[in-house]
Amino acid sequence: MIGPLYPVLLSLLCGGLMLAVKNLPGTRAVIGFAWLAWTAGQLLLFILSAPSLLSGTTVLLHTGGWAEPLGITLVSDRIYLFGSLLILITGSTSILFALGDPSSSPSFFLFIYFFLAACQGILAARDLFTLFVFFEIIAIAAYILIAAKKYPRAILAGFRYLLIASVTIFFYLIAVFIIYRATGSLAIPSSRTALALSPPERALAAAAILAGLTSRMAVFPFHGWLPEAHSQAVHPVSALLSGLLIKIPLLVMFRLSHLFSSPFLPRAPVFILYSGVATALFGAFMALNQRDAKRLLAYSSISQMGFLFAAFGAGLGLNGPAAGAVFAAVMLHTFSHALFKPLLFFSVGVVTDRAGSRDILTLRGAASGSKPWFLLFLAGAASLAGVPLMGGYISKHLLSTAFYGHGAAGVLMTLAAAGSTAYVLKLGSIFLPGRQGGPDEPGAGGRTGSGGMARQLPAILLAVLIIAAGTVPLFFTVTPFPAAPGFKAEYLLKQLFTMAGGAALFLFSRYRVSKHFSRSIRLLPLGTEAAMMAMLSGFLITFAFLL
Amino acid sequence: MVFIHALGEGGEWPLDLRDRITAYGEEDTGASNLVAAVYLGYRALDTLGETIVLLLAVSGLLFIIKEKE
Repeated sequence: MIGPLYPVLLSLLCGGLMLAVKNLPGTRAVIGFAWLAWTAGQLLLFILSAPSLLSGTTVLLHTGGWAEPLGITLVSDRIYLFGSLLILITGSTSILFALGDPSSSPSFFLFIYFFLAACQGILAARDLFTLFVFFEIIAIAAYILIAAKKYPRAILAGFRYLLIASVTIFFYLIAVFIIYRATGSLAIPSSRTALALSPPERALAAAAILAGLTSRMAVFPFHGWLPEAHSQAVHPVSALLSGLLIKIPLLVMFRLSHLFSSPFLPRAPVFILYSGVATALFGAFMALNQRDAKRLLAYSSISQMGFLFAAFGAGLGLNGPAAGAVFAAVMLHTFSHALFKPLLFFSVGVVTDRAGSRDILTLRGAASGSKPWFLLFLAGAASLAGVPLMGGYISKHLLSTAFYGHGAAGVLMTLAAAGSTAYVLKLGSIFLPGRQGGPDEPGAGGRTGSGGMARQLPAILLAVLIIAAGTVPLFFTVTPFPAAPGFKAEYLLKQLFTMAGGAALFLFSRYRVSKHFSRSIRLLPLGTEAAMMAMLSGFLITFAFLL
Repeated sequence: MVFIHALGEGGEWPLDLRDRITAYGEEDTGASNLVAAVYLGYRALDTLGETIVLLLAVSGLLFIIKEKE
């Protein structure tokens, strides 16, 4: 039996190794070795624990031998297994990509390993306070990783994340207090716990936990930290942020779902559904108005989190197998987003570094001299837009089935999906042939070059996984994901119409009026104060609605 | 109002754990100080996590303020 603590310990060990060799000369080999050991070890632990966990076994670990109300209990189950896979893929590819940059120091990898350890700890924790501790570790590690470029704007972006994360984790602590006060236990709430709370307490606890977790997931209006953080961080960190930092709290929501389910809080599922819809639309709208390539991707992450959160809310309103199918779809799309978004950050990051500019409106011909990166970008972009035979098509199709019962939400989500096609087209325009005719000016950003194997290998791996995720379900039936119906003519046609709508939206956005409009959107002041105000009012609105 | 109600008034404090720890704390953890019994015994993993937070905060600060080469 593989206990849930081993992966955490392995990550901490790799982090400790980085700490030990930090000030020694010639550490490249050690860093490489740590990556190899981490990847091999996590893969081995995953393979060893997968069969029994997939069959529904739950492994409990009572630390110190004290059972639940007294000690801390860690758990590994299917959610944990799924999260481990995300961490393994995103963590391993991001570290490998970071290895391609010769200037990254052991300290930098130290924070990555501690960040990964905290992600694994969050997945394993079945105790509200242990969750809080791991969320603290993740907040500090993410702050340092965002600020790792050390120029003022990056430090400010990291600081804003730290500020928002610390304030909202305080809301979370209030919820922990209420639950402990009523039940005398810090264990993750079961349906019995939810009954022990009076209705107003339940509403306050749920609103506080929602504020604490959705701010980490960048759900509107708690998203204020994300665009700056994603766009100012170095590319592997952007990949880690979008692949893990915003996904892990969503998996925690699954654990806590008893608290939000309809018998206890009748209005919670609808609220979650529509805040997800708002997030998806807002993210797509903002992404379409961006000029900076990485900022566009950042807003796209917000939009995709909206899709996931909305479907999570739709699933909460259902019971039995129907809810299970929706939750499985959410998991699948989480997985495919964690494949294509890091790939997009890698490919866009490399080509914009080479060109020395990230401006979508003026940069042209970014593909010249780096055909492989263009192809890799295409794989990621096609998956994001939901082109059939890519991983994103199947997961988006399954996700859209979650909204069938909800008229308005379904229409709005289709609009958001069209929006994602539109902003992908906009982003892709950096690869159009140059206007000046000749190849891009040489030496403008030659600092990093195409980055060699260490940078292309992880991207190729992600692209292969995306294509595999899109084609394998055609030939095999994977139990919780009924993929084959997705290839019926009506669904293919629907997707075609959605994408055509997106293309029309993109063409419209190139008119002068729309360009002027986007400019005024971009000039809106979105500082730290605005983000904090949005967050606080978001919490109050949530509470008022759930009450 | 609800906020104040939930935080202050209403309901008994849950006493089960307190009674359990005062009765068996020393026997369970070997610590005669009950605070230490909780801090370093029952909830040692949380303490480990908090020390990692401190480690990260200090080494992160040094990493950020160190001069760029």
